[in-house]
Amino acid sequence: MTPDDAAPRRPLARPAHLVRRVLAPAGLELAGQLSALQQEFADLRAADDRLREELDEARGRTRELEAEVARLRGLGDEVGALREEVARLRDGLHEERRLHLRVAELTDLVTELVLPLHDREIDPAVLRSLRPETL
Amino acid sequence: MPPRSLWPSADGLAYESADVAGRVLDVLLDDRRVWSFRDRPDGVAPERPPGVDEGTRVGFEPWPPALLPHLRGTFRVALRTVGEDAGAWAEAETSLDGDPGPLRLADRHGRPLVVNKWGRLGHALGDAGPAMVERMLDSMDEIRALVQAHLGDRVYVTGGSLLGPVREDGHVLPHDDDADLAYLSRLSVPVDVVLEAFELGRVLAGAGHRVLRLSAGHLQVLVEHEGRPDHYVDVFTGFLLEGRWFQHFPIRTEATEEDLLPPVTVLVEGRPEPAPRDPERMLVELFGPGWRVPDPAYQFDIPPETADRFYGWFADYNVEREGWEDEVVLATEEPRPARAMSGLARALHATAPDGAPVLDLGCGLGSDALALAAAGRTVRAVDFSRYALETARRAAGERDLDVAFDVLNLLDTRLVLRLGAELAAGHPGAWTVLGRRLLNALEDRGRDNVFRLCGMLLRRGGTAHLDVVANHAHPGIAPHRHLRLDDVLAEAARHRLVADEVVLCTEPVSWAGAPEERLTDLWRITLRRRNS
Repeated sequence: MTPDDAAPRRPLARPAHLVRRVLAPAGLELAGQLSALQQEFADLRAADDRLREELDEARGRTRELEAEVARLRGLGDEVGALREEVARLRDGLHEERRLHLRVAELTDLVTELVLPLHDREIDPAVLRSLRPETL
Repeated sequence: MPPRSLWPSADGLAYESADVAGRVLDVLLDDRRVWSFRDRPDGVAPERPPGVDEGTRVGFEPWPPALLPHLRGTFRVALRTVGEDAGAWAEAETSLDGDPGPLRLADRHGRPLVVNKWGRLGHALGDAGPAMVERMLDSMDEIRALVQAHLGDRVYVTGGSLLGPVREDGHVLPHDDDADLAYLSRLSVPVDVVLEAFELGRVLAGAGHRVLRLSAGHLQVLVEHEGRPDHYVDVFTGFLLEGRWFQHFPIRTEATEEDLLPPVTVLVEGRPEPAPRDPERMLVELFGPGWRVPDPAYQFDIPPETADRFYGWFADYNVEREGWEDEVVLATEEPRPARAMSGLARALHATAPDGAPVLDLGCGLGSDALALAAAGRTVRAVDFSRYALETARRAAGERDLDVAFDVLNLLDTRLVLRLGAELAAGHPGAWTVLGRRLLNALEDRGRDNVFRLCGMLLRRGGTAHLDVVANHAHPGIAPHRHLRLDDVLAEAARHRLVADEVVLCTEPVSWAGAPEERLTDLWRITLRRRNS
């Protein structure tokens, strides 16, 4: 630009001033809004950071809970298996107790019915063939 | 207590209960105590009696199921609070069936019936009178002396025979129905205790008593008077094992021999009788800490760990016997065996070789045994109900038929093996076995014995004819008594029995406690022994 250019500027100064006066409040308002938005943006970023932290924390907790669920599922399976085992043991115990009666019934039968040999015709040779000992 | 209202209905008894919350009440029919119950807060009448304001507490007790079929005719019903002498405080007259005739609540021998603590119909000492009580105590003394002679001074009164004399100033309980003895064995291993109990049964039978074995730890001595059932004496086994006292059937507690012996003396209707060394302790163990308060409605609440032990060691030789016997004993008229052969017996008769003898297992009143004998078969018939067999023998005499009827409990392995040996020796050829409506009436030990016996008898050929209810909705058969065909065949196979034929058929079926016949699907099974 040359020095002569100053001459045409003068005629523009006023309109420019008028424009500035007209636009200044809006600019100021926009500046305020910009500032608020910047603050809001900062707040949102902070909130986002917090949420990300919480999300990370929740993810960690979820992993812990998943591990806990898996552990409890395992325990549940273990309890189920133990219940089945208790039922089996209870049956076995009942059978063991019933053996007392079965042994008693058979012992009674053998001693009262089978072994009283006095009234029978016994072949001594047959008796001798019964080996009372295994050795 | 002021007079209160009582509203009998077909469902039960509704009554004003403001003054009797939680109390035990006697129910009197025609001025005789028939049963007792405890007022319950949840006993709510199905319908509120008309004209009773909402502020009046109305209790409700259903009729005992065993009693209901016998409530025919018109009768007075009254409620009385147990333990008070004020008499009935609520009365009403009713007829559930509209019959204006009198109520007849007695067995066919004329003995008055009550509802006992097991919920079944039975008899009460209070109805029998002092002469019967004297006879019962005579029997108890005789049996006690035999047990003492065999086991030493280790026997004492128990149950109601201890509770009555200790609490009621030396008297038996009027609502009781028997005399109870218990002994403490010197032995401690259950198998030895059982063997000793078996021997004790022989000792009592050898002395001329009619002995019924209800379990390996429970004998019942039955006594008749003037040709009809009169009374019975129970003998319960007890023993010490690893610091615990086991007294069949409700006691399992820490104790030593010194806690129980030597016996002390209590007076029972003026007779000195042995009691456990600390009678009150035994009463606590039997009837709980409230034993001093009269409670005819008392019911044993036995912990499973106690019941399981006794059931395992001593079993139950009496399973469902009373239910089947009630069909005969409690009938107002003696039941008669049918003359027609059942479908299963007809099938047997059509296929079994001529001349093959028949063993009828669980013959009941002997209908099939008699019909097969009338058709020319040689028949041996057994059942666990002596009352049913008495009827069968009478019918055989009337029809001039020769059938050998014997009491045999298929739950007693000893008797089953003895019968198998006896029959195999008496007729070594082929036998034919009939077991109608049998398998569903037996627990696993009994079915095992049936198949064991069939295995013994079919060794030389022959067949066994059995049936199993296929419709598991039949109301008379308890759910745990229903059987799957495959399971039955597997049980039989363990004794080398294989199915020759299995046929599904439909027949009218009745059951103990469900006398109304229902058309029901059954499996008819024909078994033979596999000898290879």
